[in-house]
Amino acid sequence: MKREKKGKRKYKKSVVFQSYLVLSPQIIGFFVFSLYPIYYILRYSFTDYDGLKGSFVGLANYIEIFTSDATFWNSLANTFIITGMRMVLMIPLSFFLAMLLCSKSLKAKRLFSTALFLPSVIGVATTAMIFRYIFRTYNGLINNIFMDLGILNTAVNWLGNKWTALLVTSLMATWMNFPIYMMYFCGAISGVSEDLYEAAKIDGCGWLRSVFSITLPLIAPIFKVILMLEITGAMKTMNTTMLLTNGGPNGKTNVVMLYLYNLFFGTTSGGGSYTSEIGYASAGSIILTVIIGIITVIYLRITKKLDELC
Amino acid sequence: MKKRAKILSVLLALTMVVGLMGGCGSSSSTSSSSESESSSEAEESSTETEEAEETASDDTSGEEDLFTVEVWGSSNSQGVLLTELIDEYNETTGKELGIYIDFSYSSDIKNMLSLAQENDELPLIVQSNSGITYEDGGYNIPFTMLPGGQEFLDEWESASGVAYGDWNKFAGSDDIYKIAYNFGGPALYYNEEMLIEAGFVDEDGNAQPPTTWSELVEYAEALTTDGVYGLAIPMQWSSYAEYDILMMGGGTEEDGLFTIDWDEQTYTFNVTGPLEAIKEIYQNGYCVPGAETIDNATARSYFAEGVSAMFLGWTWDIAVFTTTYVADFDWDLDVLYAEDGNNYGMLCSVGSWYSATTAVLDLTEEEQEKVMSVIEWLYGDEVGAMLVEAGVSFPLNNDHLESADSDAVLDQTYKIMDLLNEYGIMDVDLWNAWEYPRNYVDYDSSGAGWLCDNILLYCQGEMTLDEYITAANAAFTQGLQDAIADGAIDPATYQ
Repeated sequence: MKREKKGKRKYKKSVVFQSYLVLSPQIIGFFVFSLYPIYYILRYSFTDYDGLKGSFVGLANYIEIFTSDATFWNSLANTFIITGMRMVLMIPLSFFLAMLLCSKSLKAKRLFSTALFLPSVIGVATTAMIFRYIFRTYNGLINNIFMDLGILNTAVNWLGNKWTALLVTSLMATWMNFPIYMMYFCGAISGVSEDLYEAAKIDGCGWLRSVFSITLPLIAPIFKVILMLEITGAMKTMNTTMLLTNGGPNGKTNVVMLYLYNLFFGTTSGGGSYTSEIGYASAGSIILTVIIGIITVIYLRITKKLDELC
Repeated sequence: MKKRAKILSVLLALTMVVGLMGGCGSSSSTSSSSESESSSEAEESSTETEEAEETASDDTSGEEDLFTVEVWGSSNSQGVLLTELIDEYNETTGKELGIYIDFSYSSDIKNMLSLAQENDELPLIVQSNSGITYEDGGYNIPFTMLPGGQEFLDEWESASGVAYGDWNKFAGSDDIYKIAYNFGGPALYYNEEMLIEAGFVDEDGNAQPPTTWSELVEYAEALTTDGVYGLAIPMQWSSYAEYDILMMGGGTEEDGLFTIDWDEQTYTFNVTGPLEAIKEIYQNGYCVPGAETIDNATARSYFAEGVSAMFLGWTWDIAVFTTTYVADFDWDLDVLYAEDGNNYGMLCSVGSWYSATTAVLDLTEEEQEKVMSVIEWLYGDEVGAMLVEAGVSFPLNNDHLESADSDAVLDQTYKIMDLLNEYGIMDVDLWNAWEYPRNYVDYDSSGAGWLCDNILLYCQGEMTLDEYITAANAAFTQGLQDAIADGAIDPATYQ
């Protein structure tokens, strides 16, 4: 008996040890690539480090951001706008396509799955080129089509106007990212029992009603996660804006991550030379992190309360 | 089985950890990177990047008994060509002389040099388009400190066809640290066939380009027809507002592009004509739509494709329209004159300096001689002629032009040389008074730069001309004061 217990303990220890071993790269990676950089960012945020030299400045960077950096807050506002646009476009589109893909009556499901997943594997630079061509003012695809159809009389300057540029940025992000969310939704929808739909059908429930009464409530946990991922992901977006408009015209489509990126790696002065403001950008990153954290906490609390109500 | 699984899991974990650790903390290499626009880029739009390698000056690079001379360049247009020529040199002359040239180029050379200086890893020779790179950092040594340096200077000055002596000197110093290699300036490119078709011809029936900014507006209006526009305005290009508009707007010492009060340390822009012209062209649709999102490469491509009849560019664009965006029609270039007595002249500046750095001082005399021989080769007729034939260099040394194959040299190159001889080089003090403050103008944007972004506001009617000039004056006044405070410019030079 004692021998058995000893054997079991030894086995358990060995299993635990192996588990930690296998997890160790992830844990080490977390410390090296997440915690360590965060520590350094926090450190730099209290300095005026420019990549070569710096000195301690206390809270000066934070104070400047809160009191006199209109560009930071304008770019944050643009980020919120893009986040909102993306959510409105991305979530319904992903959900709807997932519903279609999971539909029993759809033939050649694999072909559609593959085709719909392609946008996510195309590189962001290529996608940006495509969208620039499509939404180009002169001889752009959309303008040509709309003008030929008589919908437009003159070409629309899609990327030259703040709101249309933000819309195009959101469209591009939606196009690139919807396949991932579509797959998440597919997974969730597949987990809903067919019996429920059959029972609903017997009771005379239409397709739309069954979506709202059966599908959505049952995939709610996944839905919440997807929504949170989309919000936090959109808040950190940079590449789409950088490649489409580079924050222009006149910084009107600048997003906060792009602004911080340029501070980290050098903004253009009037003469085109680059100066890094790593200390200042670090402070901006910390503030952004806190904002995203607050949004996440609020979102989780709201969803928790909604769960309780339901 | 359990033991095997344990061993396997340990090995797997170790492999992943080693892989992770090996990925970070690799030996440092300075690199500058810039994002690429999705449209294809030509030179001078600073999208090419090259990794700068740090090598000690006495490293050999894969070849025994060869002394490595590390050269950093800044010119993208010349960099590609120089790389080919240097490869050939390394295979031939270099081997005979026991020299290996390790060449790399980047548009962000100023920051690279700062970093290299901090780490005591300067290259031996630097080529830059901006004299400021040197004066700010103190990276260089006078040529006379190199063996044979004085003889080289004497020979160069006697060969050169244009008096540009002051450009070779830092303010307040009589030593020669750098030698001006070539010059460049803004120019108006035009599609001869379109101009002739629109009736803009001289007495001989040849295309007659506009000569003033007012005429430019008239031409742009007349040339804007179905699918063709008078001009392509690259508002995304940071240098557009500065060089193509403002610098072309005037530049004599009396009336000048700008006025600096050295006592009050204030800066005042005098140029208004070109700004008003650009606004009129923009607002009336005489330019290719979407100017706000067009960069210089796109604007060039529009001209080359015949979408725009004219293009405000720089002298080096003649190489662009013959190699990169090939214009398959008759085209030419000329200068624009401002009105109101502001005579444009060829407001050209001098660029492409080669200079030895302080790293040379650590070498033996024999090694310093090798560095000098590389400098002589870089300034020599072989390299000069090649760059002239490619249309990327308009040389100040007449020998370079004469050594070039006249069949290979573009007609437009000869025209530009004639313009230079007619108008001369811009006064270096005037250039520096422009160049230094603009590098200190504080502007937090990833966009096209202060002048360009605000020109857009002006063209879109969100700013009046007075507001633009007032804001520009304020920004550049602050830049001037910051430059003076930083020691980058000495008011005594101008007073």
